[in-house]
Amino acid sequence: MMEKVEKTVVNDLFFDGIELLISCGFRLEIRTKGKSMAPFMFDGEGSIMMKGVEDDSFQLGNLLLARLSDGRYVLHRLIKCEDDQVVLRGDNNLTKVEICTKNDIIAEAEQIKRFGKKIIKGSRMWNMYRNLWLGSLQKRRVILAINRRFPFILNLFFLSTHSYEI
Amino acid sequence: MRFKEAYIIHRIGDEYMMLSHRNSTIDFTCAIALNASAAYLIGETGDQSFSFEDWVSLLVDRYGIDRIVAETDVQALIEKLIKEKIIDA
Repeated sequence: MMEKVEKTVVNDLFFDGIELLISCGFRLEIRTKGKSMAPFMFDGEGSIMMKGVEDDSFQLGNLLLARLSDGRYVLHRLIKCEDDQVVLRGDNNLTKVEICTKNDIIAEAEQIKRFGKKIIKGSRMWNMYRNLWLGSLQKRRVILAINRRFPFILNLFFLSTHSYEI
Repeated sequence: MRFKEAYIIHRIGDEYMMLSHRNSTIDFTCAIALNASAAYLIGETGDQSFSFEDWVSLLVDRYGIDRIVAETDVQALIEKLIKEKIIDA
């Protein structure tokens, strides 16, 4: 059998290619990487399905892939959109945000997979996370504090009370 | 022989990746790394059927290498692809 090796590619190279494929109309499935979107997504666990930007991509709570002015790429939640200005925040960040323009948005997440299950945009689970993370700073502070001390416990709660969309 | 699924060859820097492509969705979660010559052969073939001889000829024509060397390389590549259930023999 071919040896299975995990490879990490430099972001610039990787996302340049992503951008090109998205612009050609493809949907892409990539591995989840990074901790900034916990507890919705976990580093190294599962994947994200992305599609091109459409008119309704700029609705609050959507997960958008952005190319920032400092060269970084982030897939974070849209928390504010005014005229051409877009403000993103990772779910695991209390106050830190990224500001860019609509032109910097490359793709939108329409589904994630984690622990073998899909969470599709518009599903109850997806909307629950969206509503929680668009909520007040206090609410998010409590949730993140719980998550940092007891990783995955929120997901166990959600698993026990709601079914995933398949 | 032919590929069981549709694949695209995607280049990142100096590396070539073979990615499964289904219903306009490209799967980066399970990429197969290729060298340049393997990427060339697979890229030229697409979803067409092909034979061992087809690939040998492609390599010889493209790289100007000895036929015996090309046959060895093609044999090794085909064996790997069959083992990974990527192509039907």
